[in-house]
Amino acid sequence: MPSIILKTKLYIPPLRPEAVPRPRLLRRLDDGLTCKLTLISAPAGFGKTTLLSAWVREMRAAWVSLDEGDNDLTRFLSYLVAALEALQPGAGAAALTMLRSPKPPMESVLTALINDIIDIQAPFIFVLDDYHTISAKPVHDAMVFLLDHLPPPGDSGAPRQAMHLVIATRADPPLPLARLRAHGHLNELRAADLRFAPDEVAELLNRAIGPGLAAEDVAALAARTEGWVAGLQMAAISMQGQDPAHMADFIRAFTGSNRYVLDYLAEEVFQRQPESLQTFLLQTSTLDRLSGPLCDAVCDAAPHESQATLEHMERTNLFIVPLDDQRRWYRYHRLFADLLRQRLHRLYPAQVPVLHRRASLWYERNDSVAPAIEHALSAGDFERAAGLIDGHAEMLWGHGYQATLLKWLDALPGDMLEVRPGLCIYYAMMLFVAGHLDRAEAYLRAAEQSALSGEHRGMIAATRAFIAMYQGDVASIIRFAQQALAQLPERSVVWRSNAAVVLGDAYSLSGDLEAAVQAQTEALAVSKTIGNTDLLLLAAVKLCMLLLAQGRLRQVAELCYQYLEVAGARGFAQTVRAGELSSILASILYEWNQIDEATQYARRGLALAKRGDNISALGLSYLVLGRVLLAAGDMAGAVQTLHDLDVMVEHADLPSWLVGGNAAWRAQIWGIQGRFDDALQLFESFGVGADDDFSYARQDFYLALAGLLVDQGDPDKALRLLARLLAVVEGAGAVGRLVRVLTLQGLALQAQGHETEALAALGRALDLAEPGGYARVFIDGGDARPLLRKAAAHGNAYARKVLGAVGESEPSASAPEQPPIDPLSARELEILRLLNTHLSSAEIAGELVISVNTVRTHIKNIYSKLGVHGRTEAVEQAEALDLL
Amino acid sequence: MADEPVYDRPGVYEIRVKGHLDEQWSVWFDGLTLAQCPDDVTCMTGVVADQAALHGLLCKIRDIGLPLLSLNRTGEKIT
Repeated sequence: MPSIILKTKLYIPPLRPEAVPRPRLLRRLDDGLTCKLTLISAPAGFGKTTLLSAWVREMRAAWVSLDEGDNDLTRFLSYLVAALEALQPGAGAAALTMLRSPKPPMESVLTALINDIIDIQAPFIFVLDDYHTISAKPVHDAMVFLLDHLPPPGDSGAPRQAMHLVIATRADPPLPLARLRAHGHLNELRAADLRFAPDEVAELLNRAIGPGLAAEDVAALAARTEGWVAGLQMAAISMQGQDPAHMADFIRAFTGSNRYVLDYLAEEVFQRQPESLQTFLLQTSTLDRLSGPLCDAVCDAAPHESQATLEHMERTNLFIVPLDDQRRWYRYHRLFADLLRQRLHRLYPAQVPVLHRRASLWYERNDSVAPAIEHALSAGDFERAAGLIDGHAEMLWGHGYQATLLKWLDALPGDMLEVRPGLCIYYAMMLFVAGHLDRAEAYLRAAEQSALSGEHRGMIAATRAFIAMYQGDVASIIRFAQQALAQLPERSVVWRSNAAVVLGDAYSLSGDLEAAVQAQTEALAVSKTIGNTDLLLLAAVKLCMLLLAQGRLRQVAELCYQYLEVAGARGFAQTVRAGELSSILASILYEWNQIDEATQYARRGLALAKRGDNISALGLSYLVLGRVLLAAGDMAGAVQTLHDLDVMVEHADLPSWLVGGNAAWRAQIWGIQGRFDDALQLFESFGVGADDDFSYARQDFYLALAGLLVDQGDPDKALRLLARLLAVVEGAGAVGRLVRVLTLQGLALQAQGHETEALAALGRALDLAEPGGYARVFIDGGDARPLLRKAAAHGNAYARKVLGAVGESEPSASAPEQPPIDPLSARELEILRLLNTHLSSAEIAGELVISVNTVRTHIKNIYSKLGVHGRTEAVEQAEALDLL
Repeated sequence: MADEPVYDRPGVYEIRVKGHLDEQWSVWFDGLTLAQCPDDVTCMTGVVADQAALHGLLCKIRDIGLPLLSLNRTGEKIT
C-alpha cells in the first residue's frame, strides 16, 4: 500500500553546531513547563524552530512539522498519533485505526488519544511546528478539545503531567489564548523575546565568520537586521571566506541600503553561488522536500548528481535542513524557499509546470500518491491529477482522508469530472460526508449521465443508501444498500463494508433481525480483509447485539471471548469496543446466573466505556452493571446506575434503544421500591400506554410496562398488552424478548387462576429458552419459580435445570438501605468539578460566564443534595459517589 | 450585482510594508504596483479581487517576513 505518513514530518530538526546557545530563552521555556501550553509566536526567520530543537534535544519529545495538507483533520490527527507512537510504541494504536474508518468519530478518536497521552507515565514535550499553516476550523476545534481535556500539569493527585504542548507559529492561532493566559496556563515567547541581543549577534558572527569583526560593524549589522536571525545568517553567509576589506565594503553597502533586508541579502547569497548551483536552487524550489533521486528527476540531472549538491549545501549551511539521519531527505528553510520561488516565477515562469510535472511523475513511480497528485495539480496537469485520484480514491477514503479528497476534487475543472463518473461519485460521497446534501445529489445525477459499469452503479447506490441513512428513510436504505452489495465487486472492500453496515442497521431498525444478522456477518467478513481492527470490532459488536436479540446466547458468548482475544492481541484491550464486548458478555453470564463472573466483566465494560464518549457503550455498560449489582444484592449500587444514566441523558441525544432500555430499568427499580405510580407516570411521559399500537423499535417500553402491570396485579390489562407484544417480537424473531413475554403471560394467567394456560405459556418459554440457556429471565421482575416447580413436577427437564441454576438465588427485590441522593443537574456537576480545583467562586463564575451569585446558589444546592457543609467535604463525597 | 457587500467586490487596496522592495516583486504579489516611499517604506497598490485574495496577499507578506505597517481600501475597481 502506498505510504500515507511521511516520517520526515516527525523528525526533530538537528541543531547545527554553530547555533548560538540562548540560555536566557531556554530558561523561560523550562519555567513554562508548569503551564499547559507554550506558544512561540513570531514572524518567519526568528529562529523558532532552532530554539525548540535546542531545547528538546535532551528531553523526551514528539514533533510534527505541519503543512497545508494537515488542514484535513484526519491527516492532522494521524500525524499526532504517529508522533506519539514514535515516542512510545503502541501509544495511539486504537486512535489510529479509528481514524481509518471511512467516517471517523472524531471525539472518540480525540478521547482515545487523550487517554493514551495520560497513560504515558514519563513526561514529554509535544511540539507542533509551523502551526500557521493550519486554517481549517475542525483542526483548531480539535486542539481546543485537547487543551480543555488535558489535565493541567502538577495537578493534585497526578504524579506529573505527561505532556507539555508547544505550538510554534507565525500567527497567533484561534485558540482560547486569553483564557489560558488568565489561568496561568500559557507560556509565551514572541518576536521581541526572540530578537538577537547585541551579545548574541556578536556570538553568531564570531561563530560563522570568525573573530575580527570590529565592534561598530557588529553593532551596525545588529541595527540593520534588528536582531532578526534570518537576516543575520544571510549576512554571515555573504561574508564567509571574504577578506576583511571586502567584509567592510559589504557591511557599508548593506547597512547603507534601504532595501528590504531579506531581498538585499538573498540577492547577495544567490549571486555568490556558481551558476550550476543557482539553477539547481531555482529548479528545486518547487519541492517541499528534497532527496537526491527526486532532485535528479526534477533537474533532469545525471543519477547521484543531486545527492552531492545537497550534501554540499548542508556542509556550507545554505539554508537547507536535514529531515532524517541518513542524508536522504532535506528541505529548504521556508523563508529561503519562498525567495527562490519568487525568483523562479519571475525569471522562468514557463518552467514551473514542467518542474511540477517531473516531480509528480517521480512521486508516482515511488508510490507516494499524495505528493504525486499535489504536484500534478500545481502543474495544472488536471488530466494526470484526475487519473491519479481515480486510481487511489478508495484507498484514501479507507484511510479517512475525506477532506483531502474533497479538496483535490474541488481543484479539478468541472468538465474533467463529467467525463469520469468514478470521480463524480467520489465527489458526491465526499460532499455528503462534508454535509452538502444538495450538491452531492447533483453530482450523483451527473454521474448517471455516463455509461456506467456495475461497480459505478454500486457506488451510486451505496452513496444513496448513506444519504437515506442520514435522512432516516429505512426502506430506501435497504433498497439502495442491497443494490450496492449486488453490484459492487469483491475488491471494493471499503464500499462493501460500509454498505453492509448501513444495511444491517436498517434491517435492525425495521425489526428484521435475521436479515440484519446476514448483513452484519458480511460486514464482519469484509472488515477482516481490510485489516482495520476498529472496524472489525465494531462489526463484531453489532453482530453480537443482533444475535443476542435472537437469543443465540452461546454463540454470542463464543464471539465475545474470541474478539476480546483479537482485541488483546492487536493492542485494543483498553478500548471502548473491548468494553462493549465485555458488557455484552456480562449480560449473558448474568442471564446464566454466573453473577461473580458477570460482575467482573460488567465492571470492566464500564471502566472501558468511560474511556470514550460513545454513548451507546456507556449506556449499555450501566444497564448491564445495574442488573448485575441488583442480583448481587447491591441495591444502592444498582440505584446509582439510574443517576449515572440521568447524567448521560442530560448531556446527549440517546439512541432509541437506550432510551427504552433506560426506562425499562428505571421502571424495574421503581417497581421493586413499590413506586408503581411514578413508574406509570414515567411511561406516560414517553407517550406509552397499555392500549397503544407500536413497532418493534419501541418494544422495550411496552415489555417493561407489561412487567409492571403483572407485578402491580393487573393481569387483564397485562395480557391484552402481552398479546400485541407477542406478535411484534415473534415477527422480529427476537427470541430473548419472546421468552420474557411468554413468562409474563404465564404469570398473568396464573394470577387469573388459569393454571393450565399458564403452564402452557411457560412451557413454550422454556422450549425457546433452552438453546440459549436462559435462566434469570424467569425470576427477574416477577418470580416464576412456583410455576417452574409445577412444570418440573410435570416432567419438564429444562424447568428443573433453571431451578437448579437460580433456585437458591434471591429474586432481585430488596428495599434500599438508604435513600439515594437527588441527582445533580448538568450545571451543578460542572461546578462540582470546578470545586475540585483551586478556583475561587468568582473565578468559577468567570470560567462559566455566569454571575457569582448564581455560582453561590448552585454551590448551596450541591451541598444540600450531597448532604455536606463545605467544599472539601463536597469533593470527598462526590469522589465517593464517582461524580467527578 | 449591486447587493454584494463592498468588500466582496474587487477594490483598490494600498498595503504599506517596511523596507524597499523593487518592482521585480510585482509578479509575486499578484501584479500589485510597488512604489518605494520615504522612511524605507514600500507601497503596494492595485486591485484585489475579494477578501480571500486579500488574506492570501497578507500571508505572502507574512511568509517572507516583511513587517506590515498599514492596509487601506482606497476605492472601487474602476471599470
